[in-house]
Amino acid sequence: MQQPLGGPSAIIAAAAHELKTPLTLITHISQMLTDTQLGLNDRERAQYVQRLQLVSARTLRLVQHLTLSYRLEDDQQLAFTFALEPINTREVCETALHELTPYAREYQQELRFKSNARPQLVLANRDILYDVVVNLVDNAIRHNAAGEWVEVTAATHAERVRLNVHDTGAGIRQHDLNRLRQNLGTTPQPFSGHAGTSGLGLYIANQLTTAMGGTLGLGRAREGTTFFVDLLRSRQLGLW
Amino acid sequence: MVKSATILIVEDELLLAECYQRWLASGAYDSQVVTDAQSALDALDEQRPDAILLDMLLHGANGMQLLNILQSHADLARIPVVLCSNALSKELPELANYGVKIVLDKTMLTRGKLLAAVGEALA
Repeated sequence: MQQPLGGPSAIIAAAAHELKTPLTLITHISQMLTDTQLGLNDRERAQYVQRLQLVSARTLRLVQHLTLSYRLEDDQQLAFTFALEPINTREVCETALHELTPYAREYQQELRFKSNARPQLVLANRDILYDVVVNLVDNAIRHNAAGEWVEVTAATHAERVRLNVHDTGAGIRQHDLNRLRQNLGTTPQPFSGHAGTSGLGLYIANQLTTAMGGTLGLGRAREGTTFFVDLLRSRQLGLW
Repeated sequence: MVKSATILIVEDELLLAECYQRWLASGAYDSQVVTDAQSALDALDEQRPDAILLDMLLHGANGMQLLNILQSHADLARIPVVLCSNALSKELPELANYGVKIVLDKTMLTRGKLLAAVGEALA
């Protein structure tokens, strides 16, 4: 497994940066819930508790991904121990989007999935693929503004299945786009000044994709940004 | 009836912005939230706030670039700015020249600290 440019300290710096925003949110929301002077009613209180749960879940996810990332870097053989099997991309993507929908709603965004009617089977590890999709969709939500949407599509190209995760946000400046294409996955690299986005999610998504023998790439989109994951198509017939 | 001061919140993390809005409302301040520098400039064209609560890291143009633009307009340069940042203050350039009255550490922020800072900036 490739070591990150800038070494482990680049990962630690990115992780610290990435964790600050959700932890700050957790602290602030907790303060609000215990602050009697704000006069929150029961409905508002319940809404803030749900928000607390969503932000905590996201923080925990990030820590779990960091742990997996560390294990992949530390144990060169780990990637080979993942059981790869025929996986229905629709099922994984829909589960991931379902999981992230309440979080996206908090940011006034919509998540969509589009695929052919026929299931697209890939050779992958279900849990790892789920983590990759969650990571990329979370990344897309972070780069979108309120009222925008994230779309995940799956399409077959010869021996590969390509999952696209497209956001409708401001997109990436040409200068950053070139830099990102060159170094994608080799080190965390932020491509917008947005708080809490260090590029760590992409770095980890690339690690996980590579561990399944796939490729993470940056697509071309007229507006917004598209990241794709190419995985080997499984020809095994499913029962769907 | 005394008109309450209006604060323009420039913060791209919507959930944080809502916290600030709640906290400011408890101090009888009106507020408006925008999530990027361009929207902030548009909002400033519409209505002149009494102070700006500005996040340093934003989508697109960052807080520093917005401060530069504000300073290039005499009327906007007079609006006091409270800067909220995750970055350590020693990493920030000399900000008083950019209309920044107070720098707040976002991670350590409380309702009391925010209200005190805004009150001081408006004094």
